[in-house]
Amino acid sequence: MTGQATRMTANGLTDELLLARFVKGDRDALGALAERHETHLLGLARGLLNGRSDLARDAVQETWVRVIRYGASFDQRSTVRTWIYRIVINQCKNIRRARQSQEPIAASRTPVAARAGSTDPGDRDSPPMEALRAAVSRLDRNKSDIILLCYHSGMTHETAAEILRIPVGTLKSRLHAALKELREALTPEAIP
Amino acid sequence: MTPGTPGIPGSQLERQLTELTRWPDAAPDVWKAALETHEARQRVPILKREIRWSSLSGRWAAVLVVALTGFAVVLLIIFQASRSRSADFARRMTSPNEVSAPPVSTSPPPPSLDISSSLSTGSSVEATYNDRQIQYFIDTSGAGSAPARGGISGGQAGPVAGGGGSPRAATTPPLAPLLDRQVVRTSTIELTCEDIRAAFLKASLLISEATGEFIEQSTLTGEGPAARASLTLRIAATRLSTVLNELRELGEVEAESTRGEDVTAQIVDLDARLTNERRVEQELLQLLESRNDAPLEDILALRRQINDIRLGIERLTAQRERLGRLVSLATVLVIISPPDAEEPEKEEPEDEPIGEYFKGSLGTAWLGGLRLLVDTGAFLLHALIGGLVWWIALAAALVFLRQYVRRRVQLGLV
Repeated sequence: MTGQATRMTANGLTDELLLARFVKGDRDALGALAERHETHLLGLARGLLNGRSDLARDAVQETWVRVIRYGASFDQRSTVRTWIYRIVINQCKNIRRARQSQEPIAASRTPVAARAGSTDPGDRDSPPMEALRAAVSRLDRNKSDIILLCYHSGMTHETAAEILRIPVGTLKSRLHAALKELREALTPEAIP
Repeated sequence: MTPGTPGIPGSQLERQLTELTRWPDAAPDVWKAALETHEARQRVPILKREIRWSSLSGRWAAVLVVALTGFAVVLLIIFQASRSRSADFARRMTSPNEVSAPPVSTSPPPPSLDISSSLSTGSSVEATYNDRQIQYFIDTSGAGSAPARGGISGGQAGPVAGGGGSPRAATTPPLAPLLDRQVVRTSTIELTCEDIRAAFLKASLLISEATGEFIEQSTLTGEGPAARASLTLRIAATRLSTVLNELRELGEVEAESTRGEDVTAQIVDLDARLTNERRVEQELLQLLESRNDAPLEDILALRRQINDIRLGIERLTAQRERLGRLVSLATVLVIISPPDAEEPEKEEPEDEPIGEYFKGSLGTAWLGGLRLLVDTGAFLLHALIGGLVWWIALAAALVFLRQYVRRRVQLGLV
């Protein structure tokens, strides 16, 4: 986990500079921004969407659409990275809400059932990972989101707290409670 | 972060959790697809995404929506204006005396009554009765045991004893418990049902003659869809809610209203007046007996005065009994009609020339239109001024909401 607020590319351009260049018409700047963040965004979206890669692609694509549309009005009150992560998390929540309204909540929250409609071979997890994903998905939404965000590659507590707009102390206490619940859910007798 | 799990070591769980949010393959470059999507959306302006303005039907649909919205607003305003007019009319037509006056009563209209009281211990109550000043002295410290003293200023002089609970009740407006209130209750219930005659008979059987209840008026007209029934029931006030519940079961309730008129002050005043008048009568009778040797002219004058007082006592007694009946027996007006009953068609005047009819209709329409215009203006003014605080609050809320939404849109969170 690295704690840098803004990320630098090899040629020294920050996310903010890349976004500014894209706003001025440099499409390659968006490509560079995407090259830096897209894999991470897709991974986080996949985790938040019960391992559904197809839905994760939709969420990230809609995220980029919003970055493109509203990049000019980005006011730099947070970093570009934080902004993009907020958007992708919101998109994932929207997708989850839409799916919950279409199918029973219990079914959509089971990873195996949730991925029943997916044909993506990458969605197949190993049995231990399947059990872990099932245990995470059984947690309360807020708790599972905090766990997935905090253990997301390259994420610090400070950045996660900024993305979720909560104090770091609050994030840590919630994470602690979520992990405790997850540990209980992973005991052999708790696994269904 | 080393979550020690009984089954899984902490570091292994940490790795596995990180693995849950890892993208297993190379990035599919969805940003390119997003760029194309955005450009495609840019080619169609926002409004055209919802309605094809270029197509004629889309434009007509928009015009239709705007026209319907305007029409709905106008209808709402007219409805509100007419409703307020109806309420005003009903208020003007329904005076308290009218409700409390039964058809059998031949007594004169209730006198004007104005009571002002001081509420301290040993308080006095001043009442104006038909322009005569009455003053009661009431000892409220002695739980009403001490007789009240009183007198009429500007009228006949003499001591007045407050008998029974009347003087105590004279202070009732702020002091007496609510249970002591004398209230005339009037209810109206409109029902619809298929079998009008059956409902009419059932409603007639709801009264209990043994307790003095009776049917004041009943009407059953027409047959089939044109059938109508109405009853005026005089029900013991204690049974009012029971009877209303039973009436509600006779059909579907279209409208229901209950009105209560507090006549405590009137009853208190009547009781006090009666006591006073009877005492004066007694004194005059004693005077008449003790002055047998008085001149004939004085005796005749005294008799006339006694007759006048007796007449006043009779009037007050009738009024008191009428009020007592109204309080003890609530009035329930029941209107029964078939469901979806259509208004009976008005017969057009046969002999009226078409020209007269046209002029009359024009005049009626013109007057009605003017009244409606005035009512609408009054309603708008009323809504504008009366709701000024709410309009300001609404405008502030809208501005705040607009800024909030704009902010969310700028952040791309919506």
